[in-house]
Amino acid sequence: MMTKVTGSPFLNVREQLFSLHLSVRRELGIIARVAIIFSRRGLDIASFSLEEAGQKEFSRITLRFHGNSAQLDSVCRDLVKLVDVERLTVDEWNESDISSQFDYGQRALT
Amino acid sequence: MTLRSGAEILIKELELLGVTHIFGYPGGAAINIFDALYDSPIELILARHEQGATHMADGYARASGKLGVVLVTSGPGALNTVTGLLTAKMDSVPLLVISGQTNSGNLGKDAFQEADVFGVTLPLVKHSRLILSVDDIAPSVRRAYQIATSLRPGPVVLDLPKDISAAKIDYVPSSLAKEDAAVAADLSPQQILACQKIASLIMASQRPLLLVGHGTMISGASPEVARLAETLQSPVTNTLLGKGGFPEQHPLSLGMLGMHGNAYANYATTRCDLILSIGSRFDDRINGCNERFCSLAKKLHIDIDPGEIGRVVQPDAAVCADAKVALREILRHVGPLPTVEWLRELREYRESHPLRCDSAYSAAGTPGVGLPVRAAQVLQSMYEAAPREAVVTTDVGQHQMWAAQFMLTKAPRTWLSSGGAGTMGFGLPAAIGVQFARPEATVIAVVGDGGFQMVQAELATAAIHRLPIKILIIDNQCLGMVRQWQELFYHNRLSSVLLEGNPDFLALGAAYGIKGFYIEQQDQMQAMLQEALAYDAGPCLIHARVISEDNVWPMIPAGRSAEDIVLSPPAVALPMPTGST
Ligand SMILES: Cc1ncc(C[n+]2csc(CCOP(=O)(O)OP(=O)(O)O)c2C)c(N)n1
Repeated sequence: MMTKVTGSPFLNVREQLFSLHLSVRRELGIIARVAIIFSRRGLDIASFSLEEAGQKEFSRITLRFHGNSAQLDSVCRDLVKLVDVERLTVDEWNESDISSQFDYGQRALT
Repeated sequence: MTLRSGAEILIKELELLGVTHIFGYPGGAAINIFDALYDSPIELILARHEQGATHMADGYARASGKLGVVLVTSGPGALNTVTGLLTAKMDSVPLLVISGQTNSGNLGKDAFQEADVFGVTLPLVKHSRLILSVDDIAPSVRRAYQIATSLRPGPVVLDLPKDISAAKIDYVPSSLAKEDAAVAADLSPQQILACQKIASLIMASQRPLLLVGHGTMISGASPEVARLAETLQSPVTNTLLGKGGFPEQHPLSLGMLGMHGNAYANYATTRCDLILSIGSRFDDRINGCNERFCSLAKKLHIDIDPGEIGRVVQPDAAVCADAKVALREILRHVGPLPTVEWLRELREYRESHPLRCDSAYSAAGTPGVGLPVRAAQVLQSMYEAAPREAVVTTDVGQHQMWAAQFMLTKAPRTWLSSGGAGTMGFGLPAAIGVQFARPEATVIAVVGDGGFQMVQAELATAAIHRLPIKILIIDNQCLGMVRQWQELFYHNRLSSVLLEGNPDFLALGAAYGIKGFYIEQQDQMQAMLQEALAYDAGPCLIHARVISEDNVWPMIPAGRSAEDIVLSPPAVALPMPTGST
């Protein structure tokens, strides 16, 4: 289920696992730009991968981190601000299942 | 074929973009670029430190709304711009920092004056680019300009290795694409709906409050804010950086809100039934305690940055759009509100809780001979003596807060202060930048004795260009704002806040050929300030020796809400604040 998110999407403070999928322009330093958004908040990235996407000027990043919904909201706000980030979707994990998916809607908020 | 070096292309592109001034400092890795400037109509203003150059470009940008440009060399030169980048990022200032870099083949070898400028500045920029091909220079400069100046402005860094600035290619400048430099003038149907929702909530309000932030200035939305306030008959308050978005002298203005804001502005937030933020991000200076912020109010938010909407305060309605465009739409759907009672309540509260700077030191209102001076009195006198359109810049500390309180701001882009970063030493170099952007303006730099000494080398820059800046040093012989916290919250254990060894400021100015004025008694204030304001042969220093033990009131302790405002010196010790600063 894809839902467009506006404002603070999550209000509970439970720790959980999130997977973030980013479509990014293949620009120098994009990994660092994404990574420091987590480190400045004291958040640990559990896994991170980057691969070439269809067209040669884009890459796909998948990363996972454990945190609460407020932390997710905070990192997403900064991630979509990166000039080279085209799209961000979030999988919210519940136990071993994805409980929901969000398209953070790069610059598509009203 | 016209062969041009990378440096020449860079400068030509900047010319095409309308850049007329660059603030900078040369060095080996940037020497090609300085050489290209030799033949350019662009004026390079040589600062005395790269931090100074960066704040100058920042002041230039804030005062003019145009891009501020900085040019520095690699390594230490580039890293000296870091504080200026933070300052610009936090306050959404369009800035372009161009740094020379070691030859691209040397990158990663700890070559002489190599620094990972791209890496160091990553968290401080809106965008950045390490340019690795001479073909990439022109598009990078154009894109940097576009990114720095559009939507929510911010700093961009271009790092240019020396071999790339030396390399030559066939280059014919192409004309600039008519890009959406600014903002879409038309709202989407979704945005129009959001504006209509905002308007309908406004029309249901009886105790509205408009909150004017820096975004108002950036958007140029002041006329629309004034129309909205007057149409609704709504009171208006502003953030520190929102000063000038709506005239603080206007009968509907409550002046500045927040930690050291007016009691009556803070009171209004506790009583309003609706608050509309126009380009403010509800930061912790105005919203120390989110749960209790405007607790009776519907919260409405206009912001160009989607990342700010709902970040701190959950709005009841919001539109992500340029403030001017959104307000024009909102104005189509609103009319007068029944605010007579509300305005009377605020007027009465204001009369019983005025902002004051009198004290035992001032004898019954008439400045007395031989009486020592309080900082706020000097600033109030300066405000009264100076033209209403004067541009005021500040450092950070007590003097900044007193200046914000007592030097009311009438017009947009005439109040420049480091709000988000709180950078001491901003005032003097920013004033230099302002005077280049607005040669005709009266420019007053209100600086602390602490902050001024961080950047005093820039006196030379002001002096050689004969910039008629009035540098008003509020010399309380201490790091006043820190001393205030130590007095109030740390049992007056004064740790490292006394500025012993302050120089003779007027002798220091004189060493640069700068005219000086001295104030230490109340009866000298008016005449000295008037004389200084009339002096325009170059910069002048006004050394105001004020009492040290003064504190800024009102004060909302960090982490507390407007209800917890402390209006005057407390009889008992205050509890330790829960907020950090
Ligand atoms: C670069 C920098 N270092 C430290 C601080 C912390 N700080 C905030 S206000 C202040 C005191 C400023 O003293 P002064 O410039 O004399 O101004 P006053 O408060 O006395 O008016 C200090 C040290 C800061 N804001 N900026």
